[in-house]
Amino acid sequence: MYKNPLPGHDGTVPAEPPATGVRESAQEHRVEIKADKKNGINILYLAGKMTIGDGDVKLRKAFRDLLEAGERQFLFDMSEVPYLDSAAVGETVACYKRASDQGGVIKVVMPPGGKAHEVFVLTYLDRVFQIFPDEDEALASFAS
Amino acid sequence: MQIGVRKEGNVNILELAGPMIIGEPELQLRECFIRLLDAGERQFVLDLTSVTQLDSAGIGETLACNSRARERDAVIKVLVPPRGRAHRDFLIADLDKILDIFTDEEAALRSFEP
Repeated sequence: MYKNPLPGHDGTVPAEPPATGVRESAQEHRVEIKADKKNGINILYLAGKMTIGDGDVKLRKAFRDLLEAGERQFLFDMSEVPYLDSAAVGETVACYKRASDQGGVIKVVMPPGGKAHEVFVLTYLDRVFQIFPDEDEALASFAS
Repeated sequence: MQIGVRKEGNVNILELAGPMIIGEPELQLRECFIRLLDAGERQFVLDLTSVTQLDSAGIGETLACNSRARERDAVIKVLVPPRGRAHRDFLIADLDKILDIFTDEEAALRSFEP
């Protein structure tokens, strides 16, 4: 039977096994989003596994609040996102669409070679989003 | 959401009708698509012309289907209504950089020809 290439929310996929061999608690799965602003760029620091019902909902709300406040330049720092499922992929695209609709832009920071980056490559989202390996490079790209 | 499957030559046309949203509809699409891939099918048109609502989960599942297809050397073309909401959403989201998007079934089918 074929397995979903994306981390799915139907139980088909594969979280990395915890190093301890102990099942992770629900708390450890929760996504945290912190916002900051540097050089006029709104940075959303996302941390945790972005999956249906948690990461996607939190991202939608955090992003919508900023967009409604008139903000138009965004950096999603996903360095601390170990993976994202198809719902989170969809939500990231939906944010991009909402931003574009308002003349805004979203860029992404994520380390190459990580699981989240692998998902972006697998879904070709690397053709849509400008992806940077670190925050400094990403922020500099807004200036140029 | 309803999914009808018909075949034109070697191309499987998945006709989606209704809301393609989080929950049952996205699971329906995933299961239907994986079943066809497992059966050896490799050419698909995802017909969204009768989709009444497409949320972020629906978009994510469409991209997931595209990834599954690529992993199995299969090809998906996406059919959307011209000037429809889905078409506009896909273009605004720059998804035409990822997906082969058509507004005409004949053209989508012709694109499979060598």
